[in-house]
Amino acid sequence: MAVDIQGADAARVHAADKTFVTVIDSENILSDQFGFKIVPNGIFLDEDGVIRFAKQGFRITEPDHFEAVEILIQDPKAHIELKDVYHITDETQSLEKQLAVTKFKLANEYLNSGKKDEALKEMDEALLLDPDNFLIRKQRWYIRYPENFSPTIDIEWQQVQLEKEKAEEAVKQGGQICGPEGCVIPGTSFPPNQVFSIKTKTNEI
Amino acid sequence: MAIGDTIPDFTLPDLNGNPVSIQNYRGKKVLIFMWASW
Repeated sequence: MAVDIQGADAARVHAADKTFVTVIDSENILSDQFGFKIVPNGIFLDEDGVIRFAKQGFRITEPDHFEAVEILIQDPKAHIELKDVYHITDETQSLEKQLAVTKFKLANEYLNSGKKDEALKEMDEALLLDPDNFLIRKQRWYIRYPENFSPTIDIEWQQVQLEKEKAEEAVKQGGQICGPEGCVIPGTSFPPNQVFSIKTKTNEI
Repeated sequence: MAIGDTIPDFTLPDLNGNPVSIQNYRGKKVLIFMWASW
């Protein structure tokens, strides 16, 4: 399931030759329902459509993750506990997060109507409400700076850009956003047994 | 959405724009791998 806001055209080059079905969730409907803020993610359903496993930051190349899927295929009701945990600690009000999601959906509609500037404005505002939402942040990069995603994804540029944007957002919000380890882009380094956390401080309303 | 919930019914387009419904996969185990080109 590709979550690209640009739709099938962006996804096709990566998926056209695969034996499995690829669908496009360009409005991030499913990731919103799970509260995912990053990709990639893995969801396992049993034969009755019951969710048995939902992992934010799932990678089939990770031995633990691969093994989890093997276990679930044999026994869908198996309880899986992975050592690596992706979580964010924050005190953001849930209404702010909902507003961020709504603004992101509005941005999607603007893009569909060819209104790129209006879309970017909504995404800018959405990120101020939910700065840890990497689905929104990365989509915004892809639209604003497409040259850094083709022919290859420039991860170093992303790291520099993230630091810059966090500094700008910190000025707007009057607090430190990244933790002592600096700003982390989830999914760019993935040693097992490491806890990823980004502490945020947001203004209480 | 949490473990133990039933996945809600959804239909999304495939790469050619044809609708694919999750209901089509009842009776099968499903791994949904969610990714993006970025």
